[in-house]
Amino acid sequence: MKILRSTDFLSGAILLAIGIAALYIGQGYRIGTASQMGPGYFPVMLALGLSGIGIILIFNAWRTLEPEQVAGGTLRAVFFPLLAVVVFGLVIDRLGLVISLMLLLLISVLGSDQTRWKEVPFLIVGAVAFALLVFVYGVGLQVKVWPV
Amino acid sequence: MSDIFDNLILGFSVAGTPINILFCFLGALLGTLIGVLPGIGPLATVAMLLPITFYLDPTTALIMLAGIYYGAQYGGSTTSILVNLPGESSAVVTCLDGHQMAKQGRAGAALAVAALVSFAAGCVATLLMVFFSPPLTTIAESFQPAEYCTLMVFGLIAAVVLAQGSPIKAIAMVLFGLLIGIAGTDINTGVRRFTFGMIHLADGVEFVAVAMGLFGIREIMLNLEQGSTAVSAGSIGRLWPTRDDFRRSWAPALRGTALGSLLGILPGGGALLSSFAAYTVEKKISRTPERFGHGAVEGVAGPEAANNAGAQTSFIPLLTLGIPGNALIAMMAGAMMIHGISPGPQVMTNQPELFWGLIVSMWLGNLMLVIINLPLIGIWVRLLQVPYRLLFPLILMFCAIGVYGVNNSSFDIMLVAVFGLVGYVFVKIGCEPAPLILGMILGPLFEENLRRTLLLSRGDWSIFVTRPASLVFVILSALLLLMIISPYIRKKREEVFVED
Repeated sequence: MKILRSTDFLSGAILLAIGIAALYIGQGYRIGTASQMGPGYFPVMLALGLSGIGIILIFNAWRTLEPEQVAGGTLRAVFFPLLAVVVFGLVIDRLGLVISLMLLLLISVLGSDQTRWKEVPFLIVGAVAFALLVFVYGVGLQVKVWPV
Repeated sequence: MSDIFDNLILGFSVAGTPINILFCFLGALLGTLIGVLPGIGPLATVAMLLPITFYLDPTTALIMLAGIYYGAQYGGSTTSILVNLPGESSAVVTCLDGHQMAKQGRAGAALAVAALVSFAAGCVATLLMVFFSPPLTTIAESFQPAEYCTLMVFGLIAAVVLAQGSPIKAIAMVLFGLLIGIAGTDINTGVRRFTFGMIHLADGVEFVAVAMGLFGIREIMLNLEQGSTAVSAGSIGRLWPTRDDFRRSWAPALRGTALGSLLGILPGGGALLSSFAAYTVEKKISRTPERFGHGAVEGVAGPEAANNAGAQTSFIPLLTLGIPGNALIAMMAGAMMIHGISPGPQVMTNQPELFWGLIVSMWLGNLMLVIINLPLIGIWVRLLQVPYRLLFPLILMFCAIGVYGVNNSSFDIMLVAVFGLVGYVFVKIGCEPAPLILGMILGPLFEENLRRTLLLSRGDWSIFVTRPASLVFVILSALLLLMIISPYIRKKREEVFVED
């Protein structure tokens, strides 16, 4: 199915989904009138707009003979940077800055196919030292540095 | 007239303090650095540095952030000329003729022309800001909520029309941004909207986290996907341009400055659009258009003047009207809000030292940039050799520490990851997420003004067309929308952006 992989169809479907989700979540917010707008008035306008554009885009994709296709992605380039950030967020409060940063750097280099493992230890030591110097001692960021 | 003189003196006294000079220099230096390094742009950098500005005085913070924006315009041209790799999207057109000059052994001349016309354009743009900001502020002070609403609609539509890519998707991005912007506790009723029951979202979605995810992390993922290419720069040659270069450059520089200043002020304008437009104009009016693309110095002077002028004048709508015209200026608005300053006409009256200090610092920064760029060019060339495989873990690290520093909240770090993924997916499906950040900044402001307008008019929507100033914005917005629909303009617009 060419349509299903086209940028127009996918963006339309995603926008329509966002619009419908916003309407669903926002159904409890009072809408009110134009002169006395409730908390739901503006969000409903936006959600309807998003859904409308979503439908137009889907229609566009269906009408076009050769719709523009979504370019393929590389899993590792997306997965590892995200994982690095998520892991950092999970451990920072417990393990402190130094260990969290080491984990972040170690996971992030997995995302590139150009990584040279001989460089990685130097990168980690240098980067963590730099971060401590700039953020902890320089800017005075209030952050736990070590696990204890 | 004497007012202007007083204002300038105030500006110099603020911008001239050692701490402000230092941060102006840091901003310009950092701007040049990221301008030179491909794969990291001013949007991502400003997003990374927003948290650090907490620790600074608001004026100092803005001076530094502004330096990054216009500094990047200088640095971006360096790599365009030397290695045919635009370090900055606004320097794409400089590649066309600048790199050809470098191939002919005239890289030094191209670099010098780029730096000198940028400086000249920066001076003119500073003067324009000095003269045009006060009257614009006076106009803006007379605005009622109705005008603010229609002005914002106009600004957002203009941003969409002038942006790259599909206009309808850009409108969708603006709407989604507005929706994200109003998430959190509604100030009028106290109702929590779109918080998914999470206490962390009660104060709204953290702007810094969204900006970092959408621009910082997204950029890393896309760069890793593309893989990096090894670059090597040739020799620079004689640094001083020939008499012929000067003769050919001054007129394009003037035209570029004028065009850039104008496009910078328009909502949606800024450095990127200005440089493309200036190149197109120079090529169109040249008597020898066939020289373009083969090392015509006009093709360097025009766009380089334009992108720097545009970068600077794009601050005018933010500082006078409170309406950011592009995503980067929206981040400046975010930086002001972090410090409890709401951008708008009241900034000039309530915080004249911030206003005039920032403007004068731009002129000082431009002066520093000529020095940073010309004699020190060798250092920047060597920096080009830093491979991306070492760079991106550092960028990721800055993002993570930076966003944690805002509220000491690990929840915000998760938000960065979420919006990184959102940004990546949006780019893949052809939705450039820059307009989203504009919408996010304007969301609460727009809703508030809409509410007030219709409260005052007792629910009568015709108020938007019965007030003259508001009617003007409505008509302008309608014209812009017609432009998007018109197939002729649509074709022209595509031509401008794919010009090669």
